[in-house]
Amino acid sequence: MDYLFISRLQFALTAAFHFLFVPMTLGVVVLIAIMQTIWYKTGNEDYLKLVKFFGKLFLINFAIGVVTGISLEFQFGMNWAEYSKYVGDIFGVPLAIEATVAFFLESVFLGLWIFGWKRVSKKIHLLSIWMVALGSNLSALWILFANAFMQRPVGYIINNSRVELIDFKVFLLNQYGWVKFFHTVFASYVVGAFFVMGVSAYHILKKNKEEIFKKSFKLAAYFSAISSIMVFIFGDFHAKDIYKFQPTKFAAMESVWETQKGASYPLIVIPDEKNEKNLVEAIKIPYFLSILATYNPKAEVKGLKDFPKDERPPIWLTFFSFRTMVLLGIIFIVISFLAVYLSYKNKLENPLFLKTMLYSIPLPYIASQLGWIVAEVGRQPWAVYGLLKTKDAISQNLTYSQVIFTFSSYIIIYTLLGITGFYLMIKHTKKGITE
Amino acid sequence: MEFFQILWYILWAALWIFYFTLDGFDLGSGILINFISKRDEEKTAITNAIGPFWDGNELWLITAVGATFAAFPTAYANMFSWFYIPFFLIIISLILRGVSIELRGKVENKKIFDFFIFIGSFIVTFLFGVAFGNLWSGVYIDNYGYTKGTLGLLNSTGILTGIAFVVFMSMHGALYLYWKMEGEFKIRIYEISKKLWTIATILYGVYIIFLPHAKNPNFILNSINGYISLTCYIISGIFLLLIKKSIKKGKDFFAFIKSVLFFIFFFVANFSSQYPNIIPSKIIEFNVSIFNSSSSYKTLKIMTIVALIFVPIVILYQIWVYKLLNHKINPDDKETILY
Repeated sequence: MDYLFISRLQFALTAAFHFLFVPMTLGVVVLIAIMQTIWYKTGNEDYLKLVKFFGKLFLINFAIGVVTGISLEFQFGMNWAEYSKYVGDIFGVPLAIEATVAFFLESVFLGLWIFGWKRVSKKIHLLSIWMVALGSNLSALWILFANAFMQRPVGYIINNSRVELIDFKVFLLNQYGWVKFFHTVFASYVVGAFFVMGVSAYHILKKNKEEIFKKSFKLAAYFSAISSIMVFIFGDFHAKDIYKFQPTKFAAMESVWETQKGASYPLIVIPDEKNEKNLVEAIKIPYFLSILATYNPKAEVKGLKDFPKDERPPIWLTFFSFRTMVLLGIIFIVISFLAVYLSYKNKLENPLFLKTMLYSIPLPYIASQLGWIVAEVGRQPWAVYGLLKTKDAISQNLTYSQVIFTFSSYIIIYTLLGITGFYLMIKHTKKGITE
Repeated sequence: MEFFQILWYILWAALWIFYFTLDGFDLGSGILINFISKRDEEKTAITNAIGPFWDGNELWLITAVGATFAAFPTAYANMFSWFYIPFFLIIISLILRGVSIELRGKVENKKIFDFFIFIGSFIVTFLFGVAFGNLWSGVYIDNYGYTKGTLGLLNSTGILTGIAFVVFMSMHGALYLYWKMEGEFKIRIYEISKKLWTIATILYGVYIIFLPHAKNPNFILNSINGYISLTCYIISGIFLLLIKKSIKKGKDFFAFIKSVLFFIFFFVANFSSQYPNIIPSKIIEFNVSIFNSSSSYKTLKIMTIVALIFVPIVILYQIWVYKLLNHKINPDDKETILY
């Protein structure tokens, strides 16, 4: 193992850990803002209690999310200096805009929201939580545009042996970025909604202020139903973009080896990476893969064999992450609509259903992580698709011992952070609504 | 092109100055948390005083780093990969400190969190001092970049600047708390502020005598930025001296504002001395300057538009929120404390 590999693991670890907290922030803050709006409009104290209860859980989550973001912004320079020099002219821009336009909105108004109870008018206080929601969602937009440039670089020329911005409008209109933004944000809403449904289900089950928690459950159920459908729709758009702009990733996601026209979609596949084929391909749906790629049943789908071996991503990991994510996405739609139906009919008593909701909390988290594995592992061996390979992106002056030191420190500290966060979440979830 | 490069040097320095001036008082409060308070209620009062603001203040750092990346990518890449371990320690300290400030109110045993608030604030402050002390005095850069490692940064200039940062920010934090607090705790902070002021004044003298950029071969006193630097040192020194009067008269807000002005002019003086280099080198030909590390004309232009629109907006609403939450805090009055 060299320091390139450890650096990659380190980035994967720190980014994945950070993204355990981000989607919950994005989703739950919107739900809290809606609850607070209902309280503001109707004066129903139940919603105020829900705002305070979920607000506490949100803040625990936010505390860890916000600080773990720092290590990512610094790491581009620390471990990926050659990458930073190569793409900084473009990649730095959305990062700087993210900080100026989005982060300040999020953090300054969150401070006001936390400490503004009783100090500012109800209206300003309501405004502050919506500003937090706006800020966090805007930050998702900018960071995903930065990522979209790594996936599908646009608006650049190669000059002075680096990429330089030639057209900012083209950069901003990167279709890949917009679709990715909506896919990711709706996925995060599902994370937030499942969290609120699961925690509410727990208290309904415990008969602990269950009439109040039925309200939060219902709200989250509707939110989840809409969001889970949107994730799926934008997921489909996203796959079509990947087919168009990242053919190697698409082939790896579906484990397609041979280029074929009118490609069918086997429901069961076991890839054999070594022998460049699939061991099992069963229950084929005719033309469906071509439809997934382009809408056109006759369209040609490129196989991995069409690409040199050193330009293919790891197949197994990309493929299984993608399949599992899609399966989970279908499950979310089913569960969400069941939840809407049961809360609409006022039948939220079935303990089995409530327990299912409680234990489903981790599932959207897993799906989000898998989505990022598809996005980032599937992009390999490129750091910037088609332009810069990951192995050429690494800092030149680092040593193995430096990187192993930081990597192992991250493991220890993040483990402690994770345990602390998890413990506090459970503690305050169990406490429930106290007053 | 040159116009935008110079403009971005000014903006770059301004972002760092905002960061040190604003985060300075909550870092300072963090350093002092265990030393100036006798009871748990007083520590809680301190975290309540910085609680609404520390994250917004720290964002000036995130913005400064983001701006370095966008405007001077080569400087960003070099600075962070050359100073790998120090920046890693800064990250970890920022993480532990931030989490502790936020989660302290949600646990029974606060001791460990208080310790992390102290040690995190201290390491961040000290290491930024070491890093910038080295920048201001020139870094040993050769054909292979900076290769002297972490210990190579802990030279006398680096350590002196690190200590200066810790002392200045402690005073800054004490003056902020002096302004924010009420009751018996305020009286105790009053005494501590006076002592910290004395130490800070002595250290300022030492700093001027062993001025870091006197060792920087790029620094020419007889130049525009040399004069700016000199003038700003004098002004910052005057503001530092004037703080004492305000403390003695009990004018808590003015004491803090003078400390803010002392910080601004002190950092303008230092950043002005470093112009036009982002990473000045002991060997002049290896300077990483705004001219050899910047982004393209187009990128700088777009970034300028974004900065000119959004930075004033951010400053406006940040001031607005500061004003909305400018109440006093009393450790013995539960009404003034939230978390």
